[in-house]
Amino acid sequence: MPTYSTRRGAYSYGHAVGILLLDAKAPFIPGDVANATSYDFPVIYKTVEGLSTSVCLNGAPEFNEKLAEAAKELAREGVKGISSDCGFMLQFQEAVADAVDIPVCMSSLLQLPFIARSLDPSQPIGVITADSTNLDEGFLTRGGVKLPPNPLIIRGMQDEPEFKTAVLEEKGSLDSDLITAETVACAEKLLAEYPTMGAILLECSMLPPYAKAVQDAVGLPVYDFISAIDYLSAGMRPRAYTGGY
Amino acid sequence: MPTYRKRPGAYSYGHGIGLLLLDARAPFVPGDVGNASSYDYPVLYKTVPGLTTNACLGGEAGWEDAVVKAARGLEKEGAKGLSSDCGFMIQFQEVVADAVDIPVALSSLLQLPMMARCLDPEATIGILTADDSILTRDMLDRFGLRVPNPIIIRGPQNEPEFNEAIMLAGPQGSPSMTLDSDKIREEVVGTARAMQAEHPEMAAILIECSIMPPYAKAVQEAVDLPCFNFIDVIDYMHAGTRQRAYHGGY
Amino acid sequence: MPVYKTRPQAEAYGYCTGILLLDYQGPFVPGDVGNADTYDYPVLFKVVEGATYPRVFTGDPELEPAIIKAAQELEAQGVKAISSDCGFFLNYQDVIAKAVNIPVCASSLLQVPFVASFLGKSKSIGVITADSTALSNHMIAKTGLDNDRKLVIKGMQEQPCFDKQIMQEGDELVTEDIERETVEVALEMQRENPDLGAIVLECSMLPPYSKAVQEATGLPVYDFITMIDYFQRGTHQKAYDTPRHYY
Repeated sequence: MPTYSTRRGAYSYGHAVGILLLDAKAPFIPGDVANATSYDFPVIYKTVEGLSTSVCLNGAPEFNEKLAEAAKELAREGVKGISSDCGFMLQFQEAVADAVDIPVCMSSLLQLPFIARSLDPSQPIGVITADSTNLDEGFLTRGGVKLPPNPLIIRGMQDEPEFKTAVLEEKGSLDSDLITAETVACAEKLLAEYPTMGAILLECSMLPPYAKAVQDAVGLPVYDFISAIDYLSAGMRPRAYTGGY
Repeated sequence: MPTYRKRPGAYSYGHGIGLLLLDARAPFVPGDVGNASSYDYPVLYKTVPGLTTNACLGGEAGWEDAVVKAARGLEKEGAKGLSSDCGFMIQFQEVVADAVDIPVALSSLLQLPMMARCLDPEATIGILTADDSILTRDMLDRFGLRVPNPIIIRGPQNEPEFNEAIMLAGPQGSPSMTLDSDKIREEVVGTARAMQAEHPEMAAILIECSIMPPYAKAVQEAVDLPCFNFIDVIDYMHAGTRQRAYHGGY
Repeated sequence: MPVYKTRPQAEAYGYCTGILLLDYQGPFVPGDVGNADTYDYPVLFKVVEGATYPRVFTGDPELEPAIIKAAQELEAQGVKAISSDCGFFLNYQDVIAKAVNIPVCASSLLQVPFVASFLGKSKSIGVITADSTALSNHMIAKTGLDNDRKLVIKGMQEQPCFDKQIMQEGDELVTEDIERETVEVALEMQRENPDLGAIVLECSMLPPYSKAVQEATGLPVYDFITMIDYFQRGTHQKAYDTPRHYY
């Protein structure tokens, strides 16, 4: 076993990914980005005070500095990569990536060009987001996401009763069966309208618990926030292979 | 990390068990011997062209060379052990085992002697097979599977979904091209329950047929007896070819 | 349990990713894309006859029909995504994606822009490839990487053991040799480019050494397997079965 040095500023060790959290109060269930059991590796969380869901969704350039500082603190704690619990944090991707030396994936939306490259350009990609009134191609471009040639079909959950009250209005409880039904219905409608759809991306960090139900219902590849964080982490945790030949 | 040598003729590596397949097209659901996700290790499939379910169950002569050729092909690709997707492949066990240098367990029936040895010699063993009009005690004896225990053999060959989806599946598929796994589960469980009703003294069940492991749990819950299926034999053989490292505490 | 349909051409079921293989014979050690034991899920291999690596490196258009046929055969067997065992299959990414209805990630190089998006503007991204002389600007453009991102490419072609044991289709592969050479190339790249932010290994025979490269450089390392695992995830979503009281 090798010799290890103290990491200045660290009070605990072994964290794989540091995750910056919105200042939001809702139950984060298994599968949610902000639920530690969603990962096969240890994560550490840090709340960005004052950055509420609505502030983030409406755009908050004044938080750039605060996010960069929070990311640096996580880096000092020894995390190997940084992410967040809101796809709209895409707006902070550049500020955070420039502030630290470790890889940063602030948003599930960074996957879009990668997913698009695996499909034929004619195949539409469905994006299910928390709030489609704030997510458009301009937002993606400003966040540094190169728009793929594929048609992007963006649908929001903001008018679904349980999602709206539990997630956006933080009523203090969350009925996951109801949100399953709401998310699956949204995906089924997308597929009905665009039968040649090639994949679905779930933008919202609270939707990965329903990714399997969506996939079972529509039979398409489904990507979500967890698939992005798993990938980010894979680069810092290469495997040792012990198999046969 | 060691030095690895090229295996002449191999285009890919890392395979665990090689599985010979009958030339039959049916959906092989999770848990079926013909479904790669049924295993915790990589398996490599090879169809024996022309060897249909009927030809295999009927014991049609003249297939040894084709079966041996396929088996040798799998060995060449680096398989560590060989099995198949039909218990009736027991008829090729000897010729294949003689032809290759790796362990061979072509049939789920090979576990019968070991099961018998674990039970009282007077304990009745039930065999759940695809077709009980073909599998007989004589046949077991002929292939070296002699046990002292009373044996009862039953199959769902006349049950509608099993018959249509499995028994009638040829190289081009079955007439309906579908398999309703809920119906098959009911038929297989029903057959097991009928066996137990006729022979309440039955002590264990050997599930011969390769399409039945998905229903083994339901069978076990229905009859509350030890049940052994095709995947159990393949897992057992694989375990011998690849011992585990143990990391636990004490 | 549901009703299942027969796939008319499927011999067996339950495969996750289908992998197109070069017409190449050599030992594929654990961690290699061509080793079935590398994965936590079943994969199905298919050799593209005639697809020798010199032809794939240059993107020989005459190979297209054979590659498309092989990809369509994999799709008919029920695989959920298609990859390959050579990063230079990038030359055929578009024709394969057009020919099938499932995701295609034919080349490890497709990850380069994705990984680059994780890095600050001032950082460069490194690619270690089997043969840097074959990796043209045209191919880099095909990955979709932004022009303003600094890209550093190094090849393994001049490393004696890699050349003899891998490029010359040797009978024997000594993993210590290849590991040492790969780590040396990575360290040299890092020395020459202090702004290096991450490394992508192009070659399908290099993932066994990703861990060593990372331990030597301390940098994030992505390889063919991280990409195939990513698409596995997208095509096989999992249930989170943590007990409810655990939230």
